[in-house]
Amino acid sequence: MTNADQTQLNRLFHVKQIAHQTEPNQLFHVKQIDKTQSHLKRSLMGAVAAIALVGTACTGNTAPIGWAAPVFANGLVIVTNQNGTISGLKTAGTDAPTVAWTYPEQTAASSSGSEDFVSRFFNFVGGLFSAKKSASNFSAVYATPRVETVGNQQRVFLASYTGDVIALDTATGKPATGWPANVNVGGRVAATPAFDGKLLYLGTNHGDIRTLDAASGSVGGAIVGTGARVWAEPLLLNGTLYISSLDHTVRAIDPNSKAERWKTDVGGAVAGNPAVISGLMIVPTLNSTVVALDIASGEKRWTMTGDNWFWSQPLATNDVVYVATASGTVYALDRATGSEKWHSAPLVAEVRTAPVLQGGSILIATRTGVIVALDPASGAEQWRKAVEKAAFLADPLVLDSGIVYAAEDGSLYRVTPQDQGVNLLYKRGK
Amino acid sequence: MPIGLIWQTFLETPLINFMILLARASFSSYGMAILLFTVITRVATFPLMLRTLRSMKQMQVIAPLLAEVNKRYSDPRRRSEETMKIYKENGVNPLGCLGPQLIQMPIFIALYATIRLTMGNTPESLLALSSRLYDFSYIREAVPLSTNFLFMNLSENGTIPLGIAVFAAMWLQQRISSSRTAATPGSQQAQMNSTMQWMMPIFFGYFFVVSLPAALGLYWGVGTVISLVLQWAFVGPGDFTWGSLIPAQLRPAAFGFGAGATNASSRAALGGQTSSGDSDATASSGSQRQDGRRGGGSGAGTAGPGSRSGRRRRNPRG
Repeated sequence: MTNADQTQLNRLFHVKQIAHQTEPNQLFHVKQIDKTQSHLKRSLMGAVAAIALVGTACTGNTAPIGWAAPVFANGLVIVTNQNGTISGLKTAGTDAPTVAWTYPEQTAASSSGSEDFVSRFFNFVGGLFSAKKSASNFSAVYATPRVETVGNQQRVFLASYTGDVIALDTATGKPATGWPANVNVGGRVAATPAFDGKLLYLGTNHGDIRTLDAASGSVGGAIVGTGARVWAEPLLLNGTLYISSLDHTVRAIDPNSKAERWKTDVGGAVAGNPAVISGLMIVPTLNSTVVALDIASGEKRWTMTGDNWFWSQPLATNDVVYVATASGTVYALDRATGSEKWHSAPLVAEVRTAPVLQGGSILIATRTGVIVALDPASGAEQWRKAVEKAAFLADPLVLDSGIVYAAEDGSLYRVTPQDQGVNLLYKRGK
Repeated sequence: MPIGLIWQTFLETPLINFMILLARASFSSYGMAILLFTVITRVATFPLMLRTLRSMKQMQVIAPLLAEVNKRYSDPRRRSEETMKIYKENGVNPLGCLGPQLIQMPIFIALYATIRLTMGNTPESLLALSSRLYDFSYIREAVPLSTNFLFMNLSENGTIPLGIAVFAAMWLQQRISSSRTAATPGSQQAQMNSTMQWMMPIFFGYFFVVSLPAALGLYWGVGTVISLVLQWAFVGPGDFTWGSLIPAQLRPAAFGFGAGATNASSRAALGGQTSSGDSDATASSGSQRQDGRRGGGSGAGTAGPGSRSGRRRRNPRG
């Protein structure tokens, strides 16, 4: 007799005992309670399953993380950290960099993370009731920091997803002279700002372009409203501001008179930065097309269709345009006609980083931490390296000593195509 | 296959594509897509909903019997026996309403993940969407979706008015549902009903609407309204009357508005006596009278007030 049989027998015996000792309606009571308990069990199991599903489905990050590319200024690599700080790293050749400055300067308590249990508990509970998850206004930065000289001071301008903008002295990492404590343009910023020598032009999630005085930090009015989010970098060329937005259009605007010079529907949302070469604007779209526009008239010169969205910025050379889809397929296109010269095998991973041509290789990095080198002439894979637990979404920084990729987890990697080297350069603060 | 992958492959990804398809088909309006989706899910789960409604109706029928049992037996065990007996004799499953609720949960959770991705509120979420779309240009070209609908940004947290609307709909639904139970005023069941009537709408109104994307609140709110309409149509409003929303002291009797007016018409139909009174007090006596076993002075101990119209209006439907 198995245990289950024994259990069943015991149970029956128990019920019979009750039946023998009690009235019929009490036996009925036992059976009914048994049935109710069964219902309850099933309900509880359902509830547990529902909770498990909640746990499965709700994992994943809904808060913005950011993918700001590192920039080079004043001999420093300037990076944004996930804890909302900004660091200037001194690099010397191939040696590991040292931190020259961090803004804001971290106190011992905040840097060591030595919060007691009670504080952490209340922070956690507070977080449940707060819509704002970011610990700092600069925790999520998508726009590549812009380095410009204002007066006699070199400044790095950082625009965060919260709309806050700060200008730091690149030499000291302290707020630039005359820059107010809190500057906010009134909308989320994901696009790298344009600069005309005096004003910064920032695209926002409200679909407008706001101006910001680079010297005083005063926010101006909106010069154009696209009606859709502006995530692609506005380009300022020869007195014309080119704005690409998620409303499928590219506009050419006179920033002074706000007059529209031309507007072209490119057939898909534009989230990636366009590239400009020889009078052509190469626009990547989420309609799985790359569109080349005549920069003077806005007329379409050619359109090419790929296997997925185009989000990464195209790499344009004199003859060839290299562009990668979100699936990791790299296309080499004739610059003049858009005809395909070759395309690589898809990497089957999300790609947002711009391709780089260096050391006889086209380099591309994926969200899954894979760095691949392709032959620029044929698209054949030369080599690939996988970096564990790294997600590359930020555009790379090209230095003499190699190509620097910033990973989502807070690390910097230096890639040297010549020797197929991929080395951890710096572990950014979290 | 890990559960996360199963979840994504068979529920989340199809739902993402379906929602984008709906959005594109409804003039690129994601808000309209959510409304359509809500209607579709309610139609799909209608057989279950109907079962629940029938169960509720049956509960209403046996409510006087349960009240009688509660009154007659002080011994909890005996009371439980008799209650179960009544349930069995009438083929009522007291937990029958849990099925549709549980079925809704995975849909709701998948919808939450879907909204998070399809709204593309952050650049990361929009980028992640690229690997989740089927290879149909009709779907791929629709992204990103417009997030504006009825003065709301569906990707941002729900607005206070939306939260209030969801609260009101849920409160009303709870109010109608709780009026069918045979809870004796002051009993544990009555207290629980009262607590649920307020806590559930507050919980959903805040956590599911104000603290999550408005798109989710829209789904929940519209779904609640549809359920409410179905419940009203198939089971009736119970002892609820619009007039009962106004405190008794402020009810404009001169306008014939509210509980008194409704009662009057109901009582006229029944040939019953007329009186005004507290709506909660009328609940139990109304159901008792319908049963025909007990007089007006029993049950809740409130003598006099007439029955509500809802129960009798339901009778012709069977």
